[in-house]
Amino acid sequence: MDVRAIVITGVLGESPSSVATDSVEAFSGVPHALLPVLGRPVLHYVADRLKNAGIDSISVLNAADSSLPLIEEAGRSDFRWKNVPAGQVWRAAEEEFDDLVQAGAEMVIVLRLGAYAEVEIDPFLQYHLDQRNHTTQVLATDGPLDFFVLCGSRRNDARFLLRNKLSKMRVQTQPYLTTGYVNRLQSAGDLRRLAVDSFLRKTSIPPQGQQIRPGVWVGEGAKIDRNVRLVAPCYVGPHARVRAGSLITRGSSLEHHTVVDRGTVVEASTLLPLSYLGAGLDLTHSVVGFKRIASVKYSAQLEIEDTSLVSVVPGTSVLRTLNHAVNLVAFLPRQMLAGVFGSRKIRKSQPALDALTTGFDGNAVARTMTQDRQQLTASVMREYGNQ
Amino acid sequence: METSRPVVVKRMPERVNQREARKFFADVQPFLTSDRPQLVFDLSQVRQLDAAGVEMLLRCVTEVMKRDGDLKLASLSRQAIMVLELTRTDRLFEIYENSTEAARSFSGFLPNAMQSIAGYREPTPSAAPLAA
Repeated sequence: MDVRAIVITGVLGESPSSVATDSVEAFSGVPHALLPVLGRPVLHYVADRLKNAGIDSISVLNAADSSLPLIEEAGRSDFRWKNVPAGQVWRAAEEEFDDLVQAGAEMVIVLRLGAYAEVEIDPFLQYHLDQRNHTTQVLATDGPLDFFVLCGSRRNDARFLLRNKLSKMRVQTQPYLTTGYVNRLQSAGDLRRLAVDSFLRKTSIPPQGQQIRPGVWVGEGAKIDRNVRLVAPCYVGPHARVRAGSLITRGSSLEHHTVVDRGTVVEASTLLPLSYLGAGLDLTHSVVGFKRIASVKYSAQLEIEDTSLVSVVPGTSVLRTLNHAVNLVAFLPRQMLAGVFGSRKIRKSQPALDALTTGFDGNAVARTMTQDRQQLTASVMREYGNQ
Repeated sequence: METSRPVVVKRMPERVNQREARKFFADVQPFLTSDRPQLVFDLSQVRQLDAAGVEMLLRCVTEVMKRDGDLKLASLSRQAIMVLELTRTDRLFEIYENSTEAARSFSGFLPNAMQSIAGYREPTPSAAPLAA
Protein backbone atom coordinates (compact mmCIF):
# COMPACT_ATOMS: atom_id res chain seq x y z
CA MET A 1 0.00 0.00 0.00
CA ASP A 2 1.31 3.43 -0.97
CA VAL A 3 1.42 5.59 2.14
CA ARG A 4 2.98 9.04 2.19
CA ALA A 5 3.31 11.74 4.79
CA ILE A 6 2.96 15.49 5.12
CA VAL A 7 4.69 17.08 8.10
CA ILE A 8 3.77 20.66 8.99
CA THR A 9 6.09 22.71 11.20
CA GLY A 10 6.30 26.25 12.47
CA VAL A 11 2.60 26.85 12.87
CA LEU A 12 0.22 26.44 15.76
CA GLY A 13 -2.81 24.23 15.38
CA GLU A 14 -6.30 25.16 16.39
CA SER A 15 -7.30 22.21 18.54
CA PRO A 16 -7.36 22.97 22.29
CA SER A 17 -4.50 20.58 22.94
CA SER A 18 -2.27 22.36 20.45
CA VAL A 19 -2.54 25.87 21.79
CA ALA A 20 0.46 26.66 23.89
CA THR A 21 -0.23 28.47 27.10
CA ASP A 22 2.91 30.41 27.92
CA SER A 23 4.93 29.97 24.76
CA VAL A 24 4.45 29.31 21.09
CA GLU A 25 6.17 25.94 20.74
CA ALA A 26 9.30 27.77 19.68
CA PHE A 27 12.56 29.02 21.09
CA SER A 28 13.58 32.41 19.76
CA GLY A 29 11.35 31.86 16.72
CA VAL A 30 12.72 28.42 15.85
CA PRO A 31 10.08 25.68 16.32
CA HIS A 32 10.99 23.16 18.99
CA ALA A 33 10.46 20.42 16.41
CA LEU A 34 13.40 21.75 14.38
CA LEU A 35 15.75 22.10 17.33
CA PRO A 36 18.21 19.31 17.98
CA VAL A 37 17.79 17.02 20.95
CA LEU A 38 20.82 14.85 21.73
CA GLY A 39 22.40 15.51 18.37
CA ARG A 40 19.60 15.57 15.82
CA PRO A 41 16.49 17.67 15.18
CA VAL A 42 13.25 16.26 16.57
CA LEU A 43 11.90 16.26 13.01
CA HIS A 44 14.53 13.70 11.99
CA TYR A 45 13.47 11.28 14.72
CA VAL A 46 9.84 11.58 13.57
CA ALA A 47 10.88 11.07 9.95
CA ASP A 48 12.94 8.01 10.91
CA ARG A 49 9.91 6.44 12.54
CA LEU A 50 7.89 7.02 9.39
CA LYS A 51 10.71 5.60 7.24
CA ASN A 52 10.96 2.52 9.43
CA ALA A 53 7.27 1.93 8.80
CA GLY A 54 7.94 1.97 5.06
CA ILE A 55 6.83 5.55 4.35
CA ASP A 56 9.50 6.87 2.04
CA SER A 57 7.87 10.02 0.74
CA ILE A 58 7.84 12.74 3.40
CA SER A 59 6.84 16.28 2.51
CA VAL A 60 7.79 18.94 5.03
CA LEU A 61 5.94 22.24 4.96
CA ASN A 62 7.81 24.76 7.06
CA ALA A 63 6.00 27.94 8.07
CA ALA A 64 8.80 29.28 10.29
CA ASP A 65 11.12 31.97 8.98
CA SER A 66 13.67 30.06 6.90
CA SER A 67 16.35 32.68 7.52
CA LEU A 68 16.44 31.78 11.20
CA PRO A 69 19.35 29.65 12.40
CA LEU A 70 19.01 25.85 12.46
CA ILE A 71 16.00 25.83 10.11
CA GLU A 72 18.09 24.97 7.07
CA GLU A 73 20.00 22.41 9.09
CA ALA A 74 16.77 20.53 9.84
CA GLY A 75 16.30 19.78 6.13
CA ARG A 76 17.37 16.45 4.68
CA SER A 77 17.95 15.28 1.14
CA ASP A 78 15.15 12.71 1.38
CA PHE A 79 12.55 15.32 2.41
CA ARG A 80 10.37 17.24 -0.01
CA TRP A 81 11.03 20.48 1.86
CA LYS A 82 8.93 23.58 1.17
CA ASN A 83 9.15 26.91 2.99
CA VAL A 84 5.74 28.53 2.95
CA PRO A 85 4.39 31.69 4.60
CA ALA A 86 2.55 30.95 7.84
CA GLY A 87 -0.71 32.31 6.43
CA GLN A 88 -0.67 29.93 3.50
CA VAL A 89 0.57 26.76 5.10
CA TRP A 90 -2.83 25.03 5.27
CA ARG A 91 -3.57 25.91 1.64
CA ALA A 92 -0.12 24.55 0.72
CA ALA A 93 -0.92 21.37 2.66
CA GLU A 94 -4.11 20.92 0.61
CA GLU A 95 -2.13 21.28 -2.61
CA GLU A 96 0.51 18.86 -1.35
CA PHE A 97 -2.18 16.34 -0.47
CA ASP A 98 -3.59 16.59 -4.00
CA ASP A 99 -0.11 16.17 -5.51
CA LEU A 100 0.61 13.08 -3.41
CA VAL A 101 -2.72 11.49 -4.30
CA GLN A 102 -2.13 12.21 -7.97
CA ALA A 103 1.26 10.56 -7.64
CA GLY A 104 -0.44 7.41 -6.39
CA ALA A 105 -0.77 7.72 -2.62
CA GLU A 106 -3.56 5.57 -1.18
CA MET A 107 -3.21 6.89 2.34
CA VAL A 108 -1.63 10.11 3.54
CA ILE A 109 -0.46 10.74 7.06
CA VAL A 110 -0.77 14.41 8.03
CA LEU A 111 0.92 15.55 11.18
CA ARG A 112 1.80 18.84 12.72
CA LEU A 113 4.94 19.23 14.84
CA GLY A 114 3.92 20.24 17.50
CA ALA A 115 4.16 17.39 19.76
CA TYR A 116 6.73 14.62 19.57
CA ALA A 117 4.76 11.38 19.62
CA GLU A 118 6.02 7.86 19.17
CA VAL A 119 2.92 6.52 17.45
CA GLU A 120 2.99 2.88 16.36
CA ILE A 121 2.52 3.50 12.64
CA ASP A 122 1.61 -0.02 11.43
CA PRO A 123 -1.10 -0.69 14.04
CA PHE A 124 -2.41 2.83 13.46
CA LEU A 125 -2.80 2.26 9.71
CA GLN A 126 -4.33 -1.15 10.34
CA TYR A 127 -6.84 0.39 12.75
CA HIS A 128 -7.75 3.01 10.14
CA LEU A 129 -8.40 0.29 7.56
CA ASP A 130 -10.32 -1.95 9.97
CA GLN A 131 -12.60 0.89 11.07
CA ARG A 132 -13.12 1.91 7.42
CA ASN A 133 -12.70 5.54 8.43
CA HIS A 134 -12.18 8.40 6.03
CA THR A 135 -9.98 10.13 8.57
CA THR A 136 -8.52 8.79 11.77
CA GLN A 137 -6.92 10.89 14.48
CA VAL A 138 -4.43 9.75 17.09
CA LEU A 139 -5.46 10.20 20.68
CA ALA A 140 -2.91 10.22 23.50
CA THR A 141 -3.73 9.72 27.15
CA ASP A 142 -3.56 13.48 27.74
CA GLY A 143 -5.63 14.52 24.71
CA PRO A 144 -5.79 14.42 20.93
CA LEU A 145 -2.70 14.87 18.80
CA ASP A 146 -2.40 16.67 15.48
CA PHE A 147 -1.65 13.32 13.86
CA PHE A 148 -4.06 12.00 11.21
CA VAL A 149 -4.29 9.45 8.47
CA LEU A 150 -6.51 10.21 5.49
CA CYS A 151 -7.68 8.02 2.67
CA GLY A 152 -6.29 9.24 -0.63
CA SER A 153 -9.71 8.98 -2.26
CA ARG A 154 -11.35 11.29 0.29
CA ARG A 155 -10.23 14.69 -0.90
CA ASN A 156 -13.22 16.50 0.56
CA ASP A 157 -12.43 15.15 4.01
CA ALA A 158 -8.82 16.20 3.61
CA ARG A 159 -9.79 19.70 2.49
CA PHE A 160 -12.22 20.08 5.39
CA LEU A 161 -9.63 18.95 7.90
CA LEU A 162 -6.85 21.15 6.55
CA ARG A 163 -9.06 24.23 6.14
CA ASN A 164 -10.01 23.85 9.78
CA LYS A 165 -6.34 23.63 10.74
CA LEU A 166 -6.67 20.03 11.91
CA SER A 167 -9.25 21.02 14.53
CA LYS A 168 -12.40 19.48 12.96
CA MET A 169 -13.12 16.38 10.96
CA ARG A 170 -15.91 16.23 8.36
CA VAL A 171 -17.12 12.92 9.75
CA GLN A 172 -16.36 12.21 13.39
CA THR A 173 -14.66 8.85 13.80
CA GLN A 174 -13.27 6.79 16.63
CA PRO A 175 -9.69 7.94 17.28
CA TYR A 176 -6.74 5.60 17.59
CA LEU A 177 -5.44 5.52 21.15
CA THR A 178 -1.66 5.47 21.29
CA THR A 179 0.25 4.21 24.28
CA GLY A 180 3.60 5.43 22.99
CA TYR A 181 5.68 8.26 24.39
CA VAL A 182 4.19 11.74 23.89
CA ASN A 183 5.79 15.10 24.62
CA ARG A 184 3.80 18.21 23.68
CA LEU A 185 6.98 20.28 23.17
CA GLN A 186 5.18 23.46 24.10
CA SER A 187 7.78 25.07 26.32
CA ALA A 188 11.49 25.00 27.01
CA GLY A 189 10.67 22.72 29.93
CA ASP A 190 9.19 20.17 27.53
CA LEU A 191 12.35 20.35 25.43
CA ARG A 192 14.40 19.61 28.53
CA ARG A 193 12.07 16.79 29.50
CA LEU A 194 12.50 15.20 26.08
CA ALA A 195 16.28 15.16 26.54
CA VAL A 196 16.02 13.72 30.06
CA ASP A 197 13.46 11.11 28.99
CA SER A 198 15.77 10.10 26.16
CA PHE A 199 18.65 9.66 28.60
CA LEU A 200 16.37 7.51 30.73
CA ARG A 201 15.37 5.41 27.69
CA LYS A 202 11.72 6.42 27.97
CA THR A 203 11.84 7.43 24.30
CA SER A 204 13.44 5.73 21.33
CA ILE A 205 15.80 8.69 20.79
CA PRO A 206 19.41 7.55 21.04
CA PRO A 207 22.11 10.14 21.80
CA GLN A 208 24.18 10.69 18.66
CA GLY A 209 27.72 9.97 19.67
CA GLN A 210 30.10 7.55 21.24
CA GLN A 211 29.37 6.39 24.75
CA ILE A 212 32.75 6.96 26.39
CA ARG A 213 31.50 5.95 29.84
CA PRO A 214 28.16 4.56 30.96
CA GLY A 215 25.70 7.39 30.44
CA VAL A 216 28.19 9.83 28.91
CA TRP A 217 27.97 10.39 25.17
CA VAL A 218 30.44 12.48 23.22
CA GLY A 219 30.04 13.47 19.59
CA GLU A 220 32.71 13.49 16.93
CA GLY A 221 35.33 16.22 17.21
CA ALA A 222 34.28 17.35 20.68
CA LYS A 223 37.13 18.81 22.73
CA ILE A 224 36.96 18.22 26.43
CA ASP A 225 39.76 19.56 28.61
CA ARG A 226 41.49 17.33 31.12
CA ASN A 227 39.98 18.38 34.41
CA VAL A 228 36.39 18.56 33.23
CA ARG A 229 33.83 16.50 35.14
CA LEU A 230 31.18 14.81 33.04
CA VAL A 231 28.63 13.23 35.34
CA ALA A 232 26.24 10.74 33.73
CA PRO A 233 23.85 11.12 32.13
CA CYS A 234 25.09 13.86 29.85
CA TYR A 235 25.72 14.53 26.19
CA VAL A 236 28.47 16.56 24.52
CA GLY A 237 27.68 17.10 20.85
CA PRO A 238 30.01 17.13 17.86
CA HIS A 239 32.69 19.83 17.83
CA ALA A 240 31.58 21.12 21.22
CA ARG A 241 34.27 22.56 23.49
CA VAL A 242 34.27 22.13 27.23
CA ARG A 243 37.05 24.06 28.93
CA ALA A 244 38.96 23.22 32.08
CA GLY A 245 37.26 23.10 35.45
CA SER A 246 33.74 22.77 34.06
CA LEU A 247 31.11 20.40 35.35
CA ILE A 248 28.40 18.95 33.10
CA THR A 249 25.84 17.07 35.09
CA ARG A 250 22.28 15.86 35.71
CA GLY A 251 21.10 15.15 32.18
CA SER A 252 22.68 18.16 30.53
CA SER A 253 22.98 18.25 26.80
CA LEU A 254 25.48 20.35 24.86
CA GLU A 255 24.59 20.38 21.20
CA HIS A 256 27.08 20.78 18.36
CA HIS A 257 29.62 23.63 18.31
CA THR A 258 28.76 24.82 21.79
CA VAL A 259 31.44 26.26 24.05
CA VAL A 260 31.42 26.02 27.82
CA ASP A 261 34.10 28.25 29.26
CA ARG A 262 36.31 27.60 32.28
CA GLY A 263 34.85 26.69 35.64
CA THR A 264 31.23 26.77 34.55
CA VAL A 265 28.65 24.37 35.95
CA VAL A 266 25.96 23.14 33.60
CA GLU A 267 23.28 21.31 35.53
CA ALA A 268 20.08 19.87 34.06
CA SER A 269 20.34 22.27 31.11
CA THR A 270 20.50 22.26 27.35
CA LEU A 271 22.85 24.35 25.25
CA LEU A 272 21.48 24.74 21.75
CA PRO A 273 23.93 24.62 18.83
CA LEU A 274 26.49 27.40 18.43
CA SER A 275 26.02 28.73 21.96
CA TYR A 276 28.80 30.13 24.08
CA LEU A 277 28.48 30.05 27.86
CA GLY A 278 30.92 32.28 29.73
CA ALA A 279 33.43 31.39 32.41
CA GLY A 280 32.58 30.77 36.06
CA LEU A 281 28.82 30.59 35.61
CA ASP A 282 26.24 28.34 37.16
CA LEU A 283 23.56 27.31 34.67
CA THR A 284 20.76 25.24 36.12
CA HIS A 285 17.43 24.04 34.72
CA SER A 286 17.66 26.18 31.60
CA VAL A 287 17.83 26.13 27.85
CA VAL A 288 20.42 28.43 26.30
CA GLY A 289 20.64 29.49 22.69
CA PHE A 290 20.67 32.51 20.38
CA LYS A 291 21.82 34.84 23.22
CA ARG A 292 18.79 33.84 25.23
CA ILE A 293 18.21 31.85 28.38
CA ALA A 294 14.91 30.15 29.09
CA SER A 295 14.60 29.10 32.68
CA VAL A 296 12.51 26.03 33.34
CA LYS A 297 12.49 26.82 37.05
CA TYR A 298 11.11 30.35 36.67
CA SER A 299 9.22 29.82 33.36
CA ALA A 300 10.87 32.94 32.00
CA GLN A 301 13.05 33.91 29.09
CA LEU A 302 15.83 36.41 29.22
CA GLU A 303 17.76 37.95 26.38
CA ILE A 304 21.39 38.57 27.29
CA GLU A 305 23.39 41.22 25.49
CA ASP A 306 26.53 40.75 27.56
CA THR A 307 28.78 38.52 25.48
CA SER A 308 30.86 37.55 28.50
CA LEU A 309 27.86 35.61 29.84
CA VAL A 310 26.15 34.15 26.80
CA SER A 311 26.84 34.66 23.12
CA VAL A 312 26.69 32.94 19.77
CA VAL A 313 29.56 31.04 18.16
CA PRO A 314 29.98 31.88 14.44
CA GLY A 315 28.18 29.44 12.20
CA THR A 316 30.95 28.65 9.71
CA SER A 317 34.41 27.30 10.38
CA VAL A 318 36.06 30.24 8.55
CA LEU A 319 34.30 32.75 10.78
CA ARG A 320 35.13 30.70 13.86
CA THR A 321 38.85 30.64 12.94
CA LEU A 322 38.75 34.37 12.26
CA ASN A 323 37.08 34.94 15.59
CA HIS A 324 39.78 32.93 17.40
CA ALA A 325 42.49 34.89 15.59
CA VAL A 326 40.94 38.23 16.55
CA ASN A 327 40.66 37.12 20.17
CA LEU A 328 44.29 36.04 20.19
CA VAL A 329 45.47 39.28 18.62
CA ALA A 330 43.49 41.26 21.18
CA PHE A 331 44.68 39.08 24.06
CA LEU A 332 48.43 39.13 23.50
CA PRO A 333 49.06 42.92 23.62
CA ARG A 334 46.82 43.18 26.67
CA GLN A 335 48.85 40.54 28.49
CA MET A 336 52.15 42.07 27.40
CA LEU A 337 51.09 45.50 28.65
CA ALA A 338 49.91 43.99 31.90
CA GLY A 339 53.28 42.23 32.21
CA VAL A 340 55.24 45.42 31.64
CA PHE A 341 53.18 47.97 33.56
CA GLY A 342 51.09 45.87 35.90
CA SER A 343 52.27 45.77 39.48
CA ARG A 344 51.73 42.75 41.68
CA LYS A 345 50.21 43.46 45.04
CA ILE A 346 51.88 41.38 47.70
CA ARG A 347 50.00 41.36 50.96
CA LYS A 348 51.94 40.87 54.12
CA SER A 349 50.58 38.62 56.78
CA GLN A 350 49.16 40.23 59.88
CA PRO A 351 51.77 40.10 62.62
CA ALA A 352 49.10 40.77 65.26
CA LEU A 353 47.97 37.16 65.05
CA ASP A 354 50.95 35.62 66.85
CA ALA A 355 50.82 38.29 69.53
CA LEU A 356 47.17 37.77 70.39
CA THR A 357 46.60 34.06 69.96
CA THR A 358 48.34 31.77 72.31
CA GLY A 359 49.49 28.55 70.78
CA PHE A 360 49.01 29.91 67.30
CA ASP A 361 52.07 30.04 65.14
CA GLY A 362 51.68 33.30 63.26
CA ASN A 363 55.04 32.87 61.61
CA ALA A 364 53.73 29.76 59.94
CA VAL A 365 51.10 31.89 58.19
CA ALA A 366 53.60 34.56 57.33
CA ARG A 367 55.98 31.99 55.86
CA THR A 368 56.00 32.06 52.11
CA MET A 369 55.23 29.06 49.97
CA THR A 370 58.83 28.62 48.92
CA GLN A 371 59.92 28.44 52.53
CA ASP A 372 57.25 25.88 53.30
CA ARG A 373 58.19 23.69 50.41
CA GLN A 374 60.39 20.78 51.32
CA GLN A 375 63.92 21.16 50.17
CA LEU A 376 64.55 19.29 47.00
CA THR A 377 66.95 16.57 47.85
CA ALA A 378 67.95 13.43 46.01
CA SER A 379 65.71 11.31 48.26
CA VAL A 380 62.64 13.48 47.60
CA MET A 381 63.28 13.33 43.89
CA ARG A 382 63.47 9.55 44.09
CA GLU A 383 60.16 9.44 45.97
CA TYR A 384 58.07 11.80 43.86
CA GLY A 385 59.83 11.67 40.54
CA ASN A 386 60.40 14.71 38.40
CA GLN A 387 57.10 16.52 39.10
CA MET B 1 15.87 45.78 69.16
CA GLU B 2 14.98 48.88 67.16
CA THR B 3 17.37 51.00 65.22
CA SER B 4 17.03 54.68 64.52
CA ARG B 5 19.17 54.67 61.42
CA PRO B 6 17.23 55.16 58.18
CA VAL B 7 16.76 52.41 55.63
CA VAL B 8 17.20 53.64 52.08
CA VAL B 9 15.14 51.83 49.44
CA LYS B 10 16.28 52.35 45.88
CA ARG B 11 14.58 51.02 42.78
CA MET B 12 16.88 49.75 40.07
CA PRO B 13 16.22 50.64 36.40
CA GLU B 14 14.78 48.27 33.82
CA ARG B 15 18.06 47.72 31.99
CA VAL B 16 21.21 47.53 34.03
CA ASN B 17 24.04 47.63 31.53
CA GLN B 18 27.43 49.26 32.01
CA ARG B 19 26.15 52.78 31.45
CA GLU B 20 23.09 52.44 33.64
CA ALA B 21 25.09 50.65 36.32
CA ARG B 22 27.57 53.52 36.50
CA LYS B 23 24.73 56.02 36.70
CA PHE B 24 22.98 54.05 39.41
CA PHE B 25 26.19 53.67 41.40
CA ALA B 26 26.73 57.44 41.26
CA ASP B 27 23.16 57.88 42.56
CA VAL B 28 23.59 55.60 45.53
CA GLN B 29 27.17 56.52 46.38
CA PRO B 30 26.22 59.17 49.00
CA PHE B 31 24.23 56.50 50.86
CA LEU B 32 27.01 53.93 50.55
CA THR B 33 29.54 56.21 52.13
CA SER B 34 27.39 57.14 55.13
CA ASP B 35 27.99 55.56 58.52
CA ARG B 36 26.65 51.99 58.81
CA PRO B 37 24.41 52.30 55.74
CA GLN B 38 21.23 50.26 55.46
CA LEU B 39 20.15 49.83 51.90
CA VAL B 40 17.48 47.92 50.03
CA PHE B 41 17.58 47.62 46.25
CA ASP B 42 14.23 46.95 44.63
CA LEU B 43 14.77 44.89 41.48
CA SER B 44 11.14 44.48 40.47
CA GLN B 45 11.57 46.46 37.27
CA VAL B 46 14.79 44.88 36.14
CA ARG B 47 14.39 43.10 32.82
CA GLN B 48 18.01 43.06 31.72
CA LEU B 49 20.99 42.70 33.96
CA ASP B 50 24.44 42.08 32.62
CA ALA B 51 27.86 41.44 34.15
CA ALA B 52 28.41 45.16 34.71
CA GLY B 53 25.20 45.31 36.71
CA VAL B 54 26.22 42.36 38.84
CA GLU B 55 29.65 43.91 39.36
CA MET B 56 27.99 47.14 40.46
CA LEU B 57 25.90 45.22 43.01
CA LEU B 58 29.04 43.56 44.34
CA ARG B 59 30.79 46.90 44.53
CA CYS B 60 27.88 48.33 46.47
CA VAL B 61 27.83 45.45 48.94
CA THR B 62 31.59 45.72 49.40
CA GLU B 63 31.32 49.45 50.17
CA VAL B 64 28.46 48.83 52.56
CA MET B 65 30.26 46.03 54.37
CA LYS B 66 33.33 48.19 54.79
CA ARG B 67 31.19 50.59 56.82
CA ASP B 68 29.53 47.86 58.83
CA GLY B 69 26.22 48.26 57.03
CA ASP B 70 24.14 45.92 54.94
CA LEU B 71 22.60 45.79 51.49
CA LYS B 72 19.53 43.66 50.85
CA LEU B 73 17.69 42.91 47.64
CA ALA B 74 13.92 42.87 47.29
CA SER B 75 11.17 42.08 44.76
CA LEU B 76 13.49 40.40 42.33
CA SER B 77 12.06 39.97 38.86
CA ARG B 78 12.49 36.55 37.28
CA GLN B 79 15.08 37.94 34.92
CA ALA B 80 17.09 39.43 37.76
CA ILE B 81 17.11 36.25 39.83
CA MET B 82 18.06 34.26 36.73
CA VAL B 83 21.16 36.40 36.18
CA LEU B 84 22.09 36.41 39.86
CA GLU B 85 21.84 32.62 39.95
CA LEU B 86 23.78 32.32 36.71
CA THR B 87 26.60 34.41 38.07
CA ARG B 88 26.46 32.71 41.49
CA THR B 89 25.90 36.02 43.26
CA ASP B 90 22.44 35.25 44.65
CA ARG B 91 24.04 33.63 47.70
CA LEU B 92 25.89 36.82 48.62
CA PHE B 93 22.75 38.82 49.30
CA GLU B 94 19.78 38.56 51.58
CA ILE B 95 16.80 38.47 49.26
CA TYR B 96 13.26 39.44 50.30
CA GLU B 97 9.90 39.24 48.59
CA ASN B 98 9.25 42.96 48.90
CA SER B 99 10.95 46.14 50.02
CA THR B 100 8.84 46.45 53.17
CA GLU B 101 9.99 43.09 54.45
CA ALA B 102 13.57 43.90 53.54
CA ALA B 103 13.39 47.24 55.34
CA ARG B 104 11.74 45.63 58.35
CA SER B 105 14.47 43.02 58.53
CA PHE B 106 16.98 45.69 59.50
CA SER B 107 15.11 46.42 62.72
CA GLY B 108 14.88 42.77 63.81
CA PHE B 109 17.63 41.55 66.06
CA LEU B 110 17.25 37.92 65.16
CA PRO B 111 18.45 36.53 61.88
CA ASN B 112 15.69 36.18 59.35
CA ALA B 113 15.76 32.39 59.35
CA MET B 114 15.06 32.28 63.08
CA GLN B 115 12.15 34.69 62.80
CA SER B 116 10.41 32.54 60.23
CA ILE B 117 10.26 29.54 62.55
CA ALA B 118 6.67 29.33 63.75
CA GLY B 119 6.19 29.94 67.44
CA TYR B 120 9.75 30.99 68.01
CA ARG B 121 10.12 33.80 70.51
CA GLU B 122 13.14 35.78 71.42
CA PRO B 123 14.29 34.35 74.76
CA THR B 124 13.75 36.74 77.60
CA PRO B 125 16.52 36.99 80.18
CA SER B 126 15.61 34.84 83.14
CA ALA B 127 15.18 36.41 86.53
CA ALA B 128 17.21 33.80 88.37
CA PRO B 129 20.93 34.30 88.12
CA LEU B 130 22.91 31.55 86.48
CA ALA B 131 24.69 29.21 88.81
CA ALA B 132 28.35 29.82 88.78
